Parts: sequence; structure tokens; C-alpha cells
Amino acid sequence: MPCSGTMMKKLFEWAIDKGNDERLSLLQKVSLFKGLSNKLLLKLMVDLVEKEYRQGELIFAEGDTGKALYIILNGSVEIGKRCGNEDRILATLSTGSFFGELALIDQVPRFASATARETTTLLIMYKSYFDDLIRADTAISSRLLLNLVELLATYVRKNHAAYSCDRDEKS
Amino acid sequence: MKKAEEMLFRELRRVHHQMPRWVLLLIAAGVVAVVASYTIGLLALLVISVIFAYLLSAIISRMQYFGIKRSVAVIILYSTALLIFIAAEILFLPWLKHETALLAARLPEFSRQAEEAFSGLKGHPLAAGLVGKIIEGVTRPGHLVGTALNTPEMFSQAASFAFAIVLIPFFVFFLLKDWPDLLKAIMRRLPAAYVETAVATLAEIDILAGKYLRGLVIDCLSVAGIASLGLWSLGIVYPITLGIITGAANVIPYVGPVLSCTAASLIAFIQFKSLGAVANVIMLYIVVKIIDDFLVQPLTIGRSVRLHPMLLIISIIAGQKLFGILGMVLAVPAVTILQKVLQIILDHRQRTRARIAPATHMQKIIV
Repeated sequence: MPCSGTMMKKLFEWAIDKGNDERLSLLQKVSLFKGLSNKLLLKLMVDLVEKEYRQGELIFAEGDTGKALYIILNGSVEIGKRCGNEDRILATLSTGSFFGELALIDQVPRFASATARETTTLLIMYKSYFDDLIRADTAISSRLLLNLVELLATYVRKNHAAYSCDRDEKS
Repeated sequence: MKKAEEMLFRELRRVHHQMPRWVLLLIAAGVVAVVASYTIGLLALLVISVIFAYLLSAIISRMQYFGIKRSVAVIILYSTALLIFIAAEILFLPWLKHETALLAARLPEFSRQAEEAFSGLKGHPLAAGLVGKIIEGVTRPGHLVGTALNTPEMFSQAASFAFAIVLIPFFVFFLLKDWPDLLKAIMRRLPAAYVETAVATLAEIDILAGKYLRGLVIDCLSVAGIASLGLWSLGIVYPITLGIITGAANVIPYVGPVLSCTAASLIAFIQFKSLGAVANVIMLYIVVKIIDDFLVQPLTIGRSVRLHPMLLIISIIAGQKLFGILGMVLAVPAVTILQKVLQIILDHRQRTRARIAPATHMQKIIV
């Protein structure tokens, strides 16, 4: 049987989209989509929009109303925030990372801005598609919401640690 | 001569700067409307192709979920459609020929029945105008067919139909195959500041149009089924054909159900020669409409497409003037989508202004 499976795979190799493999492995690494089946990830992939940004190009600005999640297909992105008169770099993200995920929860203004550090290709996921995915199935929605909660817990822990260190240094 | 040109350009630039943006947009829309009115036939073909491509794109997407290449998925779809067409021709064409022959043979008898049914109404003063015309049409179908066959326009209409039959599948094929590449090319040229708004617009159109068009297909099938069953239970002839007409007409809000109810009432009157039968049919169509509005539509189309009744009627009339029956069918989703797109664009403008406002405020402080 496994032999016939391999044969079938070879027979229909020409019909399979190989460009999908790279994107699929990338989506599998995105912690927000952890635990989702390959079929569901392929479904997500059809709804994603691809866009290439030039070096230094602003992806979104602090204060914009967020409506989408961004996944880095290749290249790198700088997340920065204006603190008083200076611009602070909060993080530098590379291939496989994602940002703007808070826009999937509510449409409050963006907390920080994102800029392409080099020529960068991003996959953009619009909020409504994410909402559709959540509404489609209870098992999927609980998995996705659990992933989101895990992410938020990580942010809270990180911020708490940074705040504690600052307070210790001051005292 | 050169000086005059320069002066003209300078004047145009001055007008451009002085004129409010909405006036320029209105002029641009007018120019587009004039160009569109000259190419209305081709535009209608493109609109039909886009709708077909959109409806079929759901099947292509489902094949893509299994990792199949888009181009291969489109070829599989076309091959399957061709096989279904051939099978339908082999299985249903003889039956359709038989039905048509039967109907043609029954036409004189049908005309006689119609004349009998309407003879009582002929003397009525209210029936003199409109009903008289209906009697003319129903009792002398041969005359109508003859007139249609003698029209020289028939050849040009047949040519347009053949043109559409060839062009629509051709357009649909390339729209289905190349849509992702087209989208990628548009996104590549789009300035970063407009990306989220463009993605939002595309997604909202996709969600709205998807819900409406797919919901509409299910809604029409449901209405056709319910109406067929009801007409059959009332003993009306050709219940399935009338049911299909009812389902198809249902895509035009308000006007469609009235037209299909009129057709069924007419058949009932000719068949039973009594106003009681007509009342039964009208009651049936009211029940079908209530079931459709309160049960079927909320489940299929949902509350995604909601227009003010006045705007709805205006859009249907405008659609009819522009694209005929197709325009009437598409008026509601088109205006709903336009409404949503305008809302997204206005949101984007508000956000842009909100982002610019603090900077100008700061500049004022610095200055």
C-alpha cells in the first residue's frame, strides 16, 4: 500500500503546487497557527495577500487602526516606537516571524510602527478572514484563541520582567 | 501656438487646484459613465464573466486546499464541466426535444382555453387595455413567434449570443487562472500607506459578494422547490417550470416575485377559468415570500446585504437602465459593495487625517 501511495504521489507530482511547500512550512512555524492541520493552513494560505516592501518602507505607523496580521515570508522588519523625542527600536523580526497580531483581537490604534529593514516580502492576513476561521469550527476557534492567549501571556511576562528590572535599577 | 498651449495648461492646473476634489471625482465618474455607455455590451460580458469566475473560484480554492496547482485546478474544472455538458446533452436533449414538441402540439388547444377563459373579461371596461393585450399575446402565440422570426435583428442577436457563448468561458478561464498574479501585480504597485485599506476592501468585497451570490443561488433553488411543491399541490399545470421561473425571478427584489406570481396566476386562470384559483395562487406566493424572507434568506444570504428600501428601488431601476435584467439582479450586491467600499475609504481618510493632525499641531507649537 505505501508503494502505491508513493506511486500516486509521483504520478500526480506535476499537479501539485511546489511553491506552497515553502509557505506551508513557514505557516507551521507561526505560533499563532500552532496545532492547525495542513489542510486548514492551505485554506489560510489562499486568503493571504503577498506584498513586497522596499528597504526603509513604512509598513504601518504607530496610531494607525490595525486591521491585519503580517507574516514575514523573507527579509526583516523593525518594530519601533516613538518615546518622547526619540525613536526606540523594540524588536527586529526576521523570516517566519509575525507581527500586528493584536489587530486580530480588536481594532485599536497600532501600538508601534513597522518598517522594512531590507527588501521584504510579507503575507498579509485581514482580520475578517481570521474571524471567519474562528466562526467556522469550535475546535479551530478554541485552538486559535488558546494560541492567542499564550502569546499575550508571553508579552505580559516579558513586560513584567522588564518593569521589575527597571524598578530594581532605580531603587 | 506654444504660448497658447502653455496658457491652457496653466489655466487647467489653476482650475485643478481651485476645484474641490469631489467635483473632480464627479467629472471623472461622468467620463467613465459616457465611455461605459458606448461599450455597454462588452462591459456586460465582462461583468457576467467576473460573476461566473467568482462563483467558480470557491471550487478552485477547495482544490487548492489539497495543494493542487491553480492552473491544473482550472483545467480539471473545465474538463469536468465539459463532461457534464456532454452527458446532459446525451441524457436530457431527447427529453427536452420531446417536451418542446409536446408543448408546440398543445399550443392551439392552449390558445383556445385562454380565449375561453378571457372571453368573460373582454367586456369589462378595466380589461379593455392591458388584459386585451395579454389576450392577444396568449391566444395568438404564432403571431408573436412569426413577428420575432421576421425581425432582421434576430441575426445580430444570434451573433451576439454566439459571441457571448465563446467569450464568457474564455474570460472566465483567464480570470480564474491569473487572478492571484493580477492581485500580486496590483499589490506590488500599491503604495505601502494604502495596503491595509486595499486588503480590507478586497476582503470585504470577497466576504460580501461571496455571501450574497452563493446565498442567492441556494435561496433561488429553495424558492423554486417550495413554489413547485405548492403549485403542484394546487393542481396547476407545469409546476416545475413555473417553480424554476419563480426561483429565477426571485433574484430581483420586489419586482421578481410579482412577475412570477402574475405568470402563475395567468396560467391558473386559463386552466381553471375561475378567480378562486388565482386567489389560491396569490395566497401561495404570499406564503412563499414570507417563508423566503423570514426563514430561507436569514439562513442563506444573512443580514450582510441590507439596503434602505428607497435606495434599493433606485438601484434596481438604475441597474435595469444600464444592463437590463442582469443589472436588476446585480443592483443590490453592487450598491451594497459600493457602500462598504466607500465606508472603508472614508475610514482610511479619517485615520490619515488623525495621523497628520498631531504633527501640524506640533509644527504650530515649534513655529
